[in-house]
Amino acid sequence: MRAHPGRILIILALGAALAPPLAAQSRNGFLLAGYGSAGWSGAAASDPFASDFTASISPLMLYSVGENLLFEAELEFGLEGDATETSLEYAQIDYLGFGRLQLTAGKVLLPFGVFGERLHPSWINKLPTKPLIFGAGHGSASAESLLPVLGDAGLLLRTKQPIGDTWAFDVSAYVTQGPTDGVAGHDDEEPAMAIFPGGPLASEAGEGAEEGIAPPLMFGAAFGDNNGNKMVGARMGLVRGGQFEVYASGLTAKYDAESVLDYSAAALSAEFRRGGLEIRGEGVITRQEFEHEHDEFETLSRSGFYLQASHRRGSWEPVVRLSRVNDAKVAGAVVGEGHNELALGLDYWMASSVPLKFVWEFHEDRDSTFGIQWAFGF
Amino acid sequence: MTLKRYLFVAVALGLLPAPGEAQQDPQLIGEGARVYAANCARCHNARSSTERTDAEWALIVAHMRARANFTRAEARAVLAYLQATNLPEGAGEDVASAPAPKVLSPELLAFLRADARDSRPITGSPPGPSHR
Repeated sequence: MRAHPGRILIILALGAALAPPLAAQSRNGFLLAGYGSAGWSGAAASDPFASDFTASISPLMLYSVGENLLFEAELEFGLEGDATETSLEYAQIDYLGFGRLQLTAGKVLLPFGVFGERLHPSWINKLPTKPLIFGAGHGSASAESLLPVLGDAGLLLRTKQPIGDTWAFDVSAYVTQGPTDGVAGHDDEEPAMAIFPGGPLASEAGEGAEEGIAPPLMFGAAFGDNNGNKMVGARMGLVRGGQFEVYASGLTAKYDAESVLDYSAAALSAEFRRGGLEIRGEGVITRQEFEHEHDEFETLSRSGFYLQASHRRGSWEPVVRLSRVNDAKVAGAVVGEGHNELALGLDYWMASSVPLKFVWEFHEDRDSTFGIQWAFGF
Repeated sequence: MTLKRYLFVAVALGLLPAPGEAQQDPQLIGEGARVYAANCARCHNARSSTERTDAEWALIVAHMRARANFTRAEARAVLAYLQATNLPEGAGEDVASAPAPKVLSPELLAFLRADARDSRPITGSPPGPSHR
């Protein structure tokens, strides 16, 4: 049977029609939850000594209508350096009336890899900083990273099919507005996340456009789209409850106003757990087509990975993480140097959702840094 | 494609509800304990069931169903487990001395009793119910 949009709609409509009514089994509810953190970091050998203080709180609002409909939104208010940032992490409606299928619409955290969707909140991430491939530090992605934590507006479907008693096949697929280039409109809108491939650091979207190899990309920059092309992506994996999981992710989109230039990314993620030991890793590759000269196209290829191991004994949990962003290449030629980072951390769990985290980070191309972060989930 | 085929695909995808899902029974609670221990610690330390009210757990489990891609049966089992072990202070001793439900293995029952007594996060996986 070939997948056809009309047939899929009929099947979903049948399921929705025969599923229990929204408010059949429980009343409405509202809950304010979330997480927050405060941290400090300093460069060990900088002269004069430089340090940053960060603080953020991310309230999560949950509102349910019966058992099957949930509205959830998460905001982030953060202090970083001398700026105060406010952002909408996600705002989505989930339909949960099906047995093994979920429908979500709105601004969602995209299931690309695992870290961005599930692990980046400060009380869950075992280190105060993100792996290099998702952007160092506490903020959005920078020129050094491959991707920001991806959020975008669109439609998301998830399903999980149990395989025997212990394994499950876990699939998510989405259609969203997709990335836009930083030079094609939306000048008056604040970019939620931006990356500047192949270019130097830039503080605002658009600044890197002339300096980078390829145009800067903005994800979730605006709920409006700059072209008729949507981003399509999926993540699928095998999960053995609590012990092992492996996921493959991919996405593809056109990012320019003319719907000519391709952007694609793929990731492989895995995790192994045994007792207090946890080993996880993620590798990402991205390819961005760009116009080199008039009607001549090139592809910027970037890749990177991180590996993290931690072992919890009682309230203490040492953590080690190796991150690498490889050389950026165009047609085999290096256009941007890669770099490594080694992070050594120690967490003290004051409660199951309250870690006090210490980290030393050693960088290949700049001073090592020391950081402390106190996080809590509520 | 006939209506029968559409219905077959809908059932295969789990779009239609499973009939007769009970909210509270020992087997469901045991399954909830297993799912809770196997899934919640995948991303973060599992929280003690006494941290929230039953109504709050209903919302949090719905949130985590969307985030962690639980099936509806798994979500209902986890909620049943959290609500069954969300006991007032001191009530854990009653659970500890309660007669064992026949559908639970001794190992799983010990796990449940320990969790009811102790608010520390679960870090291990409980054994499966005896009916498996």
